[in-house]
Amino acid sequence: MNKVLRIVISFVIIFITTVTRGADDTTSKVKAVFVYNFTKYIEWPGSQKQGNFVIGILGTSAIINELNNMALTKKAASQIFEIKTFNNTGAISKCHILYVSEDYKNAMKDVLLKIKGSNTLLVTEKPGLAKQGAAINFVVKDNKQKFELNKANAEKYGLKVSSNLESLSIKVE
Amino acid sequence: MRFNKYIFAILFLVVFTANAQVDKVSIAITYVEKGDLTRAMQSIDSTVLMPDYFNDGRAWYIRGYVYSQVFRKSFPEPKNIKWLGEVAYNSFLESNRIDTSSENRIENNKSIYNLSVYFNNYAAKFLDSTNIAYAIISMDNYKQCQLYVNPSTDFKTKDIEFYNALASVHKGIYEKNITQNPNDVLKKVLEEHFQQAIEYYYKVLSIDSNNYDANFNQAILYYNQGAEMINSMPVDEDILIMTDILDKTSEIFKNSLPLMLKADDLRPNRRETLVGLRQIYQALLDDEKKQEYNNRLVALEKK
Repeated sequence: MNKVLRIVISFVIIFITTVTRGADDTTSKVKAVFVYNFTKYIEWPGSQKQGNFVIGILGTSAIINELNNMALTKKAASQIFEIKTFNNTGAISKCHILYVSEDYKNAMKDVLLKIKGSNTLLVTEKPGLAKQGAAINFVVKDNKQKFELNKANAEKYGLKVSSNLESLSIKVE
Repeated sequence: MRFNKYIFAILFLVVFTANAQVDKVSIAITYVEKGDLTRAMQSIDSTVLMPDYFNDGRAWYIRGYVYSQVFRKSFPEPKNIKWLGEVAYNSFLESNRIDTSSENRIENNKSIYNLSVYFNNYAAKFLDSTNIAYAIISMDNYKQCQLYVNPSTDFKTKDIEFYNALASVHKGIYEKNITQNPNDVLKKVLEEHFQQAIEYYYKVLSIDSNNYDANFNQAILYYNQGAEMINSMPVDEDILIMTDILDKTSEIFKNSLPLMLKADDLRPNRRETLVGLRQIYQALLDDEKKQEYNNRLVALEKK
């Protein structure tokens, strides 16, 4: 008497899977925040507190985009950020922070020669480089981004590291 | 359409030949046929309250039928869905209680089964952002009807399908809005959607830990939550606060990893899972593993 219906609508239409946001590079963002904080917690000599605050990047790195974005809206105290990129060690010019990408992990000798006598904070991202001249070296510990601090390597370039920053770092001598 | 003509003819015949009070019941059916559903309900409601019909199983069956037709046609009025369906269901039950003949029971049970189909379809239709609660109610009613007709019904597959769908709805709301710089109030709402999605995925996995969709989507949900926490961090965030954020995101990415690995085990070499694993390992700063999955991805894309 009563025709039995079929269940015609299923929930399959809802299953639109989302893929991870492929362009997300959380590491660069984190490193950029660290770099900004270095400008707060490290003091450059008075002579370096005028003009633009120059951040140089040696080699290619995703951090360049993040730093360029940062430079659009932020300042180092009253100094405007200027982001420079260097394609080889010979091109390195005066900067407050020199960020050496992994591409140039084996060029430390040349890099150190280029910044000799300047007030440059040398930032690297390869294990062991804090012992080879870098003041700050990004490392990974327990799946988290950390940084090594070689205070002596900072002071060598006339830079004063705050105790707050020191307390958050992995100390290297 | 053929079904409608068929049931009208049969119902009319049954009622007409049953007794002299036939007209009272058939009036309601005539109203249904004309599309005047309000009058159909009014008519059958007053009929079943009459002493001559109150204990007439067929009258209650017709009431169930009228209400199930109104129920079927009343979408999208969610507030009406629940009570219309329930009146139909209870009327069929009442008919079964009054008239225990197997013939009557078979007809009522078929109608209850059909009602379950409508409930199921409404559950699917209500799976949008504003009516999730009605989807859940509809699904509960679907189960109630199914269990009445067949007490040993196994809902495992249906539950998996429905919970996955519910989770996807919550996940979609969360992901669509979380990147839009929500204010604190909206953030709290979105956080609830996130938690709901996670709970439903867990429900699926508690039924079937090998469900690919639940594993994959939950992994994505965790990953995107962690990535969003980092991406939404202002570049001048204080280092102390950032350290706390990184502690949290690291745990979130760790939650994501076993789920995505399981998804890859269940359906190896799918582009979406390989991309997911590459991203998760990158977020966990494990370069070696990230490279391993990147290599698998490249190999897959070369095929």
